[in-house]
Amino acid sequence: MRAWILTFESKTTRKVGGLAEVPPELAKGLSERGVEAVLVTPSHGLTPEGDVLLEYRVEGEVYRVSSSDLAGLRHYIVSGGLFNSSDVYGGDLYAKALAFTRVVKALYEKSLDEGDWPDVLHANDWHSGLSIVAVNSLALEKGVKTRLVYHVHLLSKSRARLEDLESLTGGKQVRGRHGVRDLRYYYEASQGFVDKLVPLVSDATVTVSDDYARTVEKWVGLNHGLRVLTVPNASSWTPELVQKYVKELAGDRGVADRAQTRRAVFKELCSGSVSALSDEAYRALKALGVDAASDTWHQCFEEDGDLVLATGRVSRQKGFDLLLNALEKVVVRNPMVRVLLMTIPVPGSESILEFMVRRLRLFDKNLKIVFGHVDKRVFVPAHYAASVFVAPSYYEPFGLVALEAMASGTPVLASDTGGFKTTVLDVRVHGLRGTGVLFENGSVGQLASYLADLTLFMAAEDGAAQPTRVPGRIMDPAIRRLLEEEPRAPSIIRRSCAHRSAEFSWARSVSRLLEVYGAV
Amino acid sequence: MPGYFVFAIHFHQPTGQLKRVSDRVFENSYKLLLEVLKEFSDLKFTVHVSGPLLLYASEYYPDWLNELAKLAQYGVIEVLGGSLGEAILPILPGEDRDLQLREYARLAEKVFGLKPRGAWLPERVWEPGLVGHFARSGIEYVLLDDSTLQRANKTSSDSLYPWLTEDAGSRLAAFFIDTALRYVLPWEHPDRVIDFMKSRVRGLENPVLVWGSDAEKFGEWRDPGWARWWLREFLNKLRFEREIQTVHPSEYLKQFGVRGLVYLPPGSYDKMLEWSGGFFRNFIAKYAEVNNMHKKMLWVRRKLERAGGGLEEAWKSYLLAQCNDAYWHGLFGGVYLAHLRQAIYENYIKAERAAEEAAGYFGEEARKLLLEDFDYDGLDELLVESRDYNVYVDLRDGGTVFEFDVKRKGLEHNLQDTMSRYAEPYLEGAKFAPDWYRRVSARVHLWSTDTGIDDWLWNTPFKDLGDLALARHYLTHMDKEGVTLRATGGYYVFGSRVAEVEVEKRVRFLSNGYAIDYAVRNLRGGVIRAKVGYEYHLAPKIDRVGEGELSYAVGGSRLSVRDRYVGRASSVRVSSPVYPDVELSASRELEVWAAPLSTLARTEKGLMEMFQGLAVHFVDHVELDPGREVRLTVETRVAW
Repeated sequence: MRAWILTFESKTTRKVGGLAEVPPELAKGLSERGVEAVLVTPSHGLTPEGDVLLEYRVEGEVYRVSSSDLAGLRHYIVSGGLFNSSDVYGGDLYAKALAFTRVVKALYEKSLDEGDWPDVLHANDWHSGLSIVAVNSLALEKGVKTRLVYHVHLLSKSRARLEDLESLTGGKQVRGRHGVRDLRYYYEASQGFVDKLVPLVSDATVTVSDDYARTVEKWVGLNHGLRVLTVPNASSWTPELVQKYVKELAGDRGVADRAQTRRAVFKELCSGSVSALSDEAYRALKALGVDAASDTWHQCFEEDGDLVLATGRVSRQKGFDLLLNALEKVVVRNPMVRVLLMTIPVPGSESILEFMVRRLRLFDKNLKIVFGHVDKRVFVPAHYAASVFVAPSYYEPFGLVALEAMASGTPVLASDTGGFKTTVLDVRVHGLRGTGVLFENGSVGQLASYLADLTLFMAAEDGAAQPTRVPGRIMDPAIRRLLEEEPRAPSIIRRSCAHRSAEFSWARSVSRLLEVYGAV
Repeated sequence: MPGYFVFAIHFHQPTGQLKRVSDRVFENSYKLLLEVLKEFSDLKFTVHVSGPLLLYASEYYPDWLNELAKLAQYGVIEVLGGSLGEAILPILPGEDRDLQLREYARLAEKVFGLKPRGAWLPERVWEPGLVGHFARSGIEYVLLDDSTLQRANKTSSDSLYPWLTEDAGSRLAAFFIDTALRYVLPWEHPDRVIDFMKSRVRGLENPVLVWGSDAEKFGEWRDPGWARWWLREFLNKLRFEREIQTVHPSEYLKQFGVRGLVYLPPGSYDKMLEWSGGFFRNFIAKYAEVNNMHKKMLWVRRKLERAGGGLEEAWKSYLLAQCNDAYWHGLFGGVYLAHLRQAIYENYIKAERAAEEAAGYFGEEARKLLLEDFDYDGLDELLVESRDYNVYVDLRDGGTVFEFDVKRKGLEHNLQDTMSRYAEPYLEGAKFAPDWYRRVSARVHLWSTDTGIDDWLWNTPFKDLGDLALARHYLTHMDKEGVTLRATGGYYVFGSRVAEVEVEKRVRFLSNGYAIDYAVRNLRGGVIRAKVGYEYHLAPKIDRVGEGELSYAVGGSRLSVRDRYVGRASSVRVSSPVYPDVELSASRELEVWAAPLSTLARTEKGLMEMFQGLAVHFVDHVELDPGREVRLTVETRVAW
């Protein structure tokens, strides 16, 4: 089987977000299973090595497709024109997506001419999803069967213009859920929203969790009766990897004693910058009174305590406002709580940043925030040192962060949305096999209550030193009962977390993907 | 920051709705809305399906309901709770309020697989005492009208936020339906509606604009093609609108909470306040028929309470009989819809019979005769109850029969569920005189000799020369076969009392109905020259499922109930395709007037007559000297 995996970013070329992880991992896994997998991706300013397979002119610009082996994986890298910029998602993204689509179409035409067209064309997210529309009409015209698989990692509200799509398809018909029709039919059914349109003309649409599959179905429109399949993501974090970083920061004692690691992390945070920040974000923070290069007040706890960690981009999606709004209630129940956010400012996040800094000043004892990409040297041990990891996202297609926390043996308090509903096993349901708690999405009250409960619960790990921390302070009866019935419950749950994270491997994801390919 | 928009669609068909009407609304509106909700599943809607409609849909439209449940499970719609019978909660006994909410929640959970967090308040009739009932049933919020908030001295902008209210320590959040938005959506062009919405929310921090109204506005009130166009246009635009974002109420509450504490006075939507004179319970005071149903409810409840547990079906019938539609009147229908009243009595009677059976209510007795203040007017009514029927007599109101319930299984029906015509604002200027007495049975008139059927039907003034029609009757005698009622009054000519008159009604109880032996006596004074009228009204059972017509036989003719009859006869036999015949038979042949008793309804085509029941008048031309009497017996029998 020959499969082209289309993606706008890849950790093997240019990585910006989580998307960069998945296609190369899947492609690698597919190759290991005998599939001729090729990763097709733009160069984004890199100069690809290898043979030039194709030169193609779009809007007067010359694009080249080079065939390269990177990280043991065959790549077709599209360079030139709009891809001379290193800013993956900057500039006119729609124009980039169209250019990428035109080149992929030309590449596909070439493969038809040469008789080695792919059996599967697997596009990831809307930027490469437009290629499915172009290839669909071409394959239909030529009477060729290529299975078109659309993989949604994060839904987008991006729209395409009808004239652009008609130009891509040469005004030809496409085959879709409602049969072979003029493109206009599917365009109107989707209002031109790419993430509504592409699923309608794909042979299969997959996403990363069962819950998010429903979100995609809703977005496409339940009137179409589309069934979205699931191929879960996986994490490259393993307990061994985590311990390696812990050892580097806190030595063997740090591995044996998480409090030791915690103190080491706190020390790092107080000693200076541990993160890299874009100039833009630096200036935005400076204007808010945080000099991320020299200040430490925003990231340095004065006193030790129960570490609660949350990570992610500064965006509304991540629900940090919920966590910060819950803090007051948490502190009342557990004054020892130390909430640490490791968060990456992105363009457009200024108002949230401002809110965060205001909260930093309010809760100066209990809240600290590291802004920017944190070096793994500190980032990974912080997960290990945490009593609880919080993932309060309003929506989260998969939520790799939960797997990373669990690989570190840290239970997760997550909103009951998206992938968290699959990855996190609620201790109230699963008991000692549980790996955290799922709280009602968007509920500040529940987040506060369970965060207080979980930090108190985990503090019982070193309960002898904290005589006031008794199960009686835990409000939720199921969580309290766990501790009453099994004093070692916190340690057992840490082990359950590690086990659970191991269940999400790329090998498993690849098996599932092969099922999807086979079922199409 | 965007403004938020709660799009709350209320689906409701009342207990007893004609099947053809429900089916038409499903075809025109409900199916269309479901398709639209599916198509726009990327947006957020709030939906309430009333209890009676949920039950109807479960039986006749299970696929529609399953699809709706799927939308709920996908989080496209937030399902609102409510009351099982779509009842006006403040007019119910406290325990019934809890029961209504609890039973709806149970049904909704079964159908939708989730427990509602908010509630639709039927007709948004609010009284502060409801807070505890909602709180106890786990309801976190309700949708009310902005007029209710504004009467608590809040501003128009304040109504763009939910508020918390409290009663006796319980708490409840309330969102406020925007009246102005309700007047433009969906009646104005979608562009103008969206512009209006934007103008409402602009400059405010996290406002939430709430539209909550009837589903029938889409496809039933105006044609489905237009509704589909309007909705698609509107929702398509909303998809692109950055200033307005759809939200579920519970999601909004979680995220932004409430604005503060408020104490809300009784209220409803603006028109309801206008129709009711500012307070819903005024309807009970205005319409004797509403009061009758309401007090029947209280009477049946007493029996259910005494009957103990295990009467689930009876309680369900009872709760469904509390369905609001027939308990009020605005512009259309309401209490004037005979088929709705019919269903209400049917359900109460079913519950009553079950309660009586369970409690062994009659013991060894064939019947019970009770003097009770049934209608809460401060005077006792005579209630005659047996296993097969009830006859209720209002002693104060002319000694009339105001309820005749057939209780036999399968035949549950109040044959006296007739309707009077009341002064309505929309009838001002029409040639219409409201009824000056309640249109029920066994009323005696002394009509002037020139009185005709139209004078009787349409209330020509000064035709009744007696004051017996409204006279207080006294129960003077009782034995195994029946009771005797008596009243005295006068016969007047040009306002002067000419004779003193006594009316005696001997009410006898038959196996399948009742008989009244009338005696009208000239006690003293001058000669009475009049048409003595014995007035009856019957509510034949309407075929709510099929299209069967009602008819009656009189004087050898078979007529539609739409037709009238004036002639000699001794009986009138009324036929319904879904019920045994009911016969009024006089002890001798005399003049009979029979006609439909119709109310006037305002429609787009002008005033239309609405059938309420068959009016029958036995008319005796008399010249009665002092000391003389005239007698007549009239039997009312059901041919079971």
